[in-house]
Amino acid sequence: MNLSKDEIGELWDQITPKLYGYLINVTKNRTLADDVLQTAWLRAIENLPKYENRGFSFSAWLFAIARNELRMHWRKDNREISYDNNLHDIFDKDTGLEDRILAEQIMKKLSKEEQELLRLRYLADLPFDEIARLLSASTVSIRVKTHRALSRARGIIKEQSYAQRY
Amino acid sequence: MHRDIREIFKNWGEKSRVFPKEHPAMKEEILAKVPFSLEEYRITAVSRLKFPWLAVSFPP
Repeated sequence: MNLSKDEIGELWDQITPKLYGYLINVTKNRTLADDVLQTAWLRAIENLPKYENRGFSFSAWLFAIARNELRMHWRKDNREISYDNNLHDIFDKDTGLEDRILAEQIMKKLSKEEQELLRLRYLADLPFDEIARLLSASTVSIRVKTHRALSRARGIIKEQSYAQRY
Repeated sequence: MHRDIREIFKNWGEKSRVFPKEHPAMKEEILAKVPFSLEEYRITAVSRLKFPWLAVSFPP
């Protein structure tokens, strides 16, 4: 794929908030998220002449590189996560706080696979077919699993509101 | 809870998207790594389309 500097700059502006938000959510560590973001972009730039858009957008390709970088990091560091206590500073405090807290509470109760599906769908904003390619699964199974994850999330909210009432 | 769960996650997703603190410097660093040859590659590819004999005479 042949992209000019300006085009790559536009892609950076479009994709980086999604990818960085995703990395922050997965790693809970700003320094690690910064490192992975930068490495993923550098790898993408190095391999840009080899990239061909065969139903896999640049965004999904970059996410695939970043997920691979994370996997390599965790393999090296035995998946030790050091939580960043000042993480909440980076988000806008005034807007969407309620939904963010609620969604994070639900996420903690979902399986790792369900969490990843919801992250890729709603944070990374990737379509089902690209998530399917990223996770080496069929589009149908990704749709079904996402639907199930949302049903479980709905159940968790119901349980919570029931527990609060009684 | 009458709100749609999709709406909650959509809002969560949108509000969780952020730029890194050092975003302008990082962007500049990444763009500086875009090799000149990439732009050159693009020009070469276009000229090969315009002049197909070039591809035969000078294969990449």
